[in-house]
Amino acid sequence: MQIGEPGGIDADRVLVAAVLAGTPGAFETLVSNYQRLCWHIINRMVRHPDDTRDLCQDTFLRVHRYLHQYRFESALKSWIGQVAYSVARRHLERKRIPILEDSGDEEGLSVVDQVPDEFDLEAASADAQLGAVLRAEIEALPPLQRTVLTMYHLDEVPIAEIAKITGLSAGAIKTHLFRCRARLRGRLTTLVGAME
Amino acid sequence: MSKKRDFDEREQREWDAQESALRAERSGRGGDDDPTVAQYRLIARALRTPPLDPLPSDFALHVAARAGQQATVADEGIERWIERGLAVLLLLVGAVALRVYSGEVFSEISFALPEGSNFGVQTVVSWSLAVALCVGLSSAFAFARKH
Repeated sequence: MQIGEPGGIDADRVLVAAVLAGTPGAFETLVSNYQRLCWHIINRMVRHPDDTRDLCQDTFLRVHRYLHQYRFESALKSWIGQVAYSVARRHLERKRIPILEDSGDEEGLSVVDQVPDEFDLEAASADAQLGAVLRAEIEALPPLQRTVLTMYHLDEVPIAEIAKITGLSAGAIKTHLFRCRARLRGRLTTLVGAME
Repeated sequence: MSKKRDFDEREQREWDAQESALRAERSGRGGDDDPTVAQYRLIARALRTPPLDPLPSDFALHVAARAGQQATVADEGIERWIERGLAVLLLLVGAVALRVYSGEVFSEISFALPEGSNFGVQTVVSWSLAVALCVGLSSAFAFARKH
């Protein structure tokens, strides 16, 4: 039986049934299909390679133990992402690391106001360090925002799915994305200004 | 994130620029005339290449093996508990039955024995206990050998 072409709900049903039936190799296929997203979520949350490996393993062991409770109400990818996110979140809570900065609701507008439209992109592109500096700025973001940005930009998870994974509303996810990117743009223009 | 509101016109333009940059980076198309979009493309590029620790190549294989072990241990655990539960239940039922029917049965046995026989109620109880002890000991040894 060919199992585990990831993504489609039918493929997920076949894969889940195979895992529950104890088909040899089925669970390994499931892990292979979704390990990348799981790894990204946890690594962006905790940023420690050993913790990431342990928590990612813990996530899939939980998935294996509770797979019989999965009711296909959301995509398998979202369900596994949800488990990964909650495992990483609990880890940070135990370490008393806040996952989100408390900020005012009107911040979005003020961030946009800080950014001038004039910008010497050629000068910016010419500097090879700019990308590294931007990544350092991204790293300085709180765990939740880092993770949301990675899921959206790197893993191409839609906003509605990120909302399911994190348990936040789609509006809240959109606001996080908007604010973070606007803040990064503000930082980018400041950096370029300082370089000139 | 206490209250949510829709974007105003300026924020909506900013959002559109962010999304346009994201799509441009995903598709890998050429440069943008809009400076805001161009700025956001730099950001989108950085966001698509975050510093991630590498995923071990044998991760899936390793996790699947661990899950298999866990499932086996769980199954054996359940079997052991069922086995123990049944043994305890059997002993309880036996004890209750002995308590309820012992006098009656033993007196009948006693009366059923031929006159002048050396077997009495005490003898039957003693032999029963001895047999039970033998069965119990051999089961205990078998259990100890198995685990």
